[in-house]
Amino acid sequence: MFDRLASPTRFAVFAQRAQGWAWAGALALIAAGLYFALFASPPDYQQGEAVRIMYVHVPAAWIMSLTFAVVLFYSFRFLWKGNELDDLMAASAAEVGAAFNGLTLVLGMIWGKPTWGVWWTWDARLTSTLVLFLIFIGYLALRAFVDDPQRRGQWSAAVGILGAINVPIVYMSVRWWRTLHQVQSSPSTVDWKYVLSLRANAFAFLFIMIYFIRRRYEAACLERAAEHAAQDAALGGPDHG
Amino acid sequence: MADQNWAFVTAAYVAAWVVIIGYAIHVHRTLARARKAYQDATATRPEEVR
Repeated sequence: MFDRLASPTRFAVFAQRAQGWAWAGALALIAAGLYFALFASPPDYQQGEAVRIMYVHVPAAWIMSLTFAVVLFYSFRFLWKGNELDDLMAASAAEVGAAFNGLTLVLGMIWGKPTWGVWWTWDARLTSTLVLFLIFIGYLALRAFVDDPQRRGQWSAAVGILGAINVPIVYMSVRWWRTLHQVQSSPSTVDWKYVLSLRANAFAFLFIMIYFIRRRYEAACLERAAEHAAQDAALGGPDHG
Repeated sequence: MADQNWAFVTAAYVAAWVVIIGYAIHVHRTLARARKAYQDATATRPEEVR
């Protein structure tokens, strides 16, 4: 099944069919996530009410990492097979990942102020997340400036792979260096109410991510089809060669 | 202190939903523009529309 869905065309068909269920699931999870995060979860003994920011900050970071894994997969696939649809899928995921990356940074800053007393510090976790964000802003800028689709695909695949390789560095940064940012918690040492609030929001964000990538990919395919049609028209029809 | 933390919590949830809804609007606009561009590009050669 995984191999079948690896094709962007088959994924698009699957996503189209799953869209209704995804919407219903997303709405239910968003409502559950908000309820658990804002009402059911007790305040933390150290962070107080600020712990509620974790329920959006951590899922945003998880979804950012997952989205960049999609970029990595489709970038490699594009370099391997040269199928333009893989490039469009990688680019769609990169834009969505950059949005979640920006959101992770903003939410981290809002959490940092009441917890650490500062909005920002040049800590390894924060700095590496900012570097990741800048790499993907560069990725999107690169795509806007390169006209040739083949060259655009190859260059952006290289930048996408470079950016995605940074994700494990971001994850391990709290263990490799002395940081103000705490190390990852384990569900086995955290009360179930906190775990449930985190997971409900993580799955809600997952559905939102799938929806965004699906729609962005659809737009990218239409943009590319329009470019092909315009080129064909300029050269006197599709059989010009 | 607790009241102050609620202000940060509110700011975080507002920021999260502003980004998500804002990005959703961006995607819908991009899709609408792409559909129009595709229709315009293929409208001149109706025999090629599949």
